[in-house]
Amino acid sequence: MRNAQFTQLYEEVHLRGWRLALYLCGRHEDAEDLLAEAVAHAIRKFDKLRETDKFSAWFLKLMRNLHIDHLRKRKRQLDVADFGGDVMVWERLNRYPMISGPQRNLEAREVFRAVDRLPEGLRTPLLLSTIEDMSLAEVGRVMGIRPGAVKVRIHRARKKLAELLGEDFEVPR
Amino acid sequence: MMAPQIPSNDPLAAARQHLDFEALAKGAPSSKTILFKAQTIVPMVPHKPWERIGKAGAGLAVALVLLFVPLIPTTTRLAMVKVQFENTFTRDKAQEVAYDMARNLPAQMLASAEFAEAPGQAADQHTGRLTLRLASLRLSPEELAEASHDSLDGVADAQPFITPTTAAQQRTWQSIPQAIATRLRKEDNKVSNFPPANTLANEIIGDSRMFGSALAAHLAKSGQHLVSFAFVDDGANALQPADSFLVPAWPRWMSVGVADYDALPRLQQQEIRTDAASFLGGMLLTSSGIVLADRPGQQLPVLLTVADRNGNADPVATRMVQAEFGSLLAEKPPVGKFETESLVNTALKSVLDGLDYKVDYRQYSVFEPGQAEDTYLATITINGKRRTGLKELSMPDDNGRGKEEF
Repeated sequence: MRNAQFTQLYEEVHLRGWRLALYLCGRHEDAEDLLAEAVAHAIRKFDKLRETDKFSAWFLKLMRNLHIDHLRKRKRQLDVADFGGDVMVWERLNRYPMISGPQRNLEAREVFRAVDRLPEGLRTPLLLSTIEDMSLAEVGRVMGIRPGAVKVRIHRARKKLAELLGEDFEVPR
Repeated sequence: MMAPQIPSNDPLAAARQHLDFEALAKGAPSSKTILFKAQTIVPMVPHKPWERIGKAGAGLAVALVLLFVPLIPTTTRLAMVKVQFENTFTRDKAQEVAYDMARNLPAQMLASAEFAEAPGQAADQHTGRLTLRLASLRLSPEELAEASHDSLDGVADAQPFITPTTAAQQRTWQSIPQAIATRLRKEDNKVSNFPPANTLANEIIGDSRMFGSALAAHLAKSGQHLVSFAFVDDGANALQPADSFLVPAWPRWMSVGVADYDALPRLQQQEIRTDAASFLGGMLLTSSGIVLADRPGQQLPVLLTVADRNGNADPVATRMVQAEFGSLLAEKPPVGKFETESLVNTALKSVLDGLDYKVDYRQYSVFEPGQAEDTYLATITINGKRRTGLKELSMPDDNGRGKEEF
């Protein structure tokens, strides 16, 4: 049955979807709303999905597009920190490790806060690749771009991150 | 407690090692919660077998229903009435009656007039019987008779006798796509002899089934059984089946099949041919108004239509030219095509003096070639100047009521 199939596929992607919603929104309440709305859209469009093995990327892409639509409606891209997003995600680090940079030591939270300041087009591929450990091809499917373009964006994101942190990290290619 | 220090060239990778995924997962709402919340936004589609057809399937089903299920009842009828008068008229008075009736005629009706002079009259009398025939494609014979009565109201002093003569009716059931296809086919089949504004004539001449039914009813009165009918546009090359004959009538030739036609005597065959030809000719499908004829089926030698540069008929100018032509005709009847053309040109010069116009003559034979008189159709197109430049003409008036201006 199609409904049972959807439920099963969603169960598999639920946690990853939740984390992406958190990365995108920054707050629990917003993330939950975004996730539920994305599921609602997915239910509506599920019949058009022919390759169910790509459900994960299809669903994450749908959620991201929905998020961008919301941002466009607000006319400007809000920084997550503007509405206190950092207290929900990055504060949940079990410890606050210090990361030694070339010039000074950084707190891990400080790194994530800098990530939040990246533009969404750079932040999402960076997080999906680094935090979610997704391949360039998978990230490309979520972003709707080619893997080569994902690589370029991740590189730019890292470069920008180093600038924001004021450190001269070696940017991996 | 001192936080550990991690040396790294990739701060994000270092920070990721300490991201508490379990804590993130614990804070996540359950998938059931999200699914429930999502279904408050959009419910999952119930999947019963008959509900799995989908929108495309439903659309296909609707299209099939529209295609095959007869939906629209279409009734068309061709009704004709004959109008006669208890008293006789002079030719001029008959012409005036015919013109006045044409002026009152509703758009959905066509009319023709016949004038039969009584035999053995003195040369200065020339009185006769006027017969009008009216046709409609929409009205029932009763409605047509009523409309005819209204058109004749106050036109003649004499009381008209209105008799329904022919009525053919067709009732068809068509699906919507079939109805559209039929209309498109009729467009393709349109005969260009009429101005586009004359939709009624175009419809009559474009519907061979309806016209055939009416002709069948007409011929049945004289005991003939019509077995086939078709309009033929390329008469010279038309193949004629047995028991049928070709009628080179204006504006479309007809192929008419009558039961046992080939076995009939030649004289009777000729009568049937004349009857069929006069049936079409008697409707006077042209919008040029009414002209008088001396006997059934015979029109004036020229049917005049004045049209503007867009091809729309100008009834007032047409009537003026016809009146002028009629008076010239009475003075000197033409012999042959060239004299007729010359007469038309004289009438035109008189009426359209100073206007830029051109005349397009077409020749049609109402009867079989070589056995009857020819009829010409002259279309006059006013090209440039406004027709307000037309000369004022007077209508023939026996009672001396003075000139009537158009």
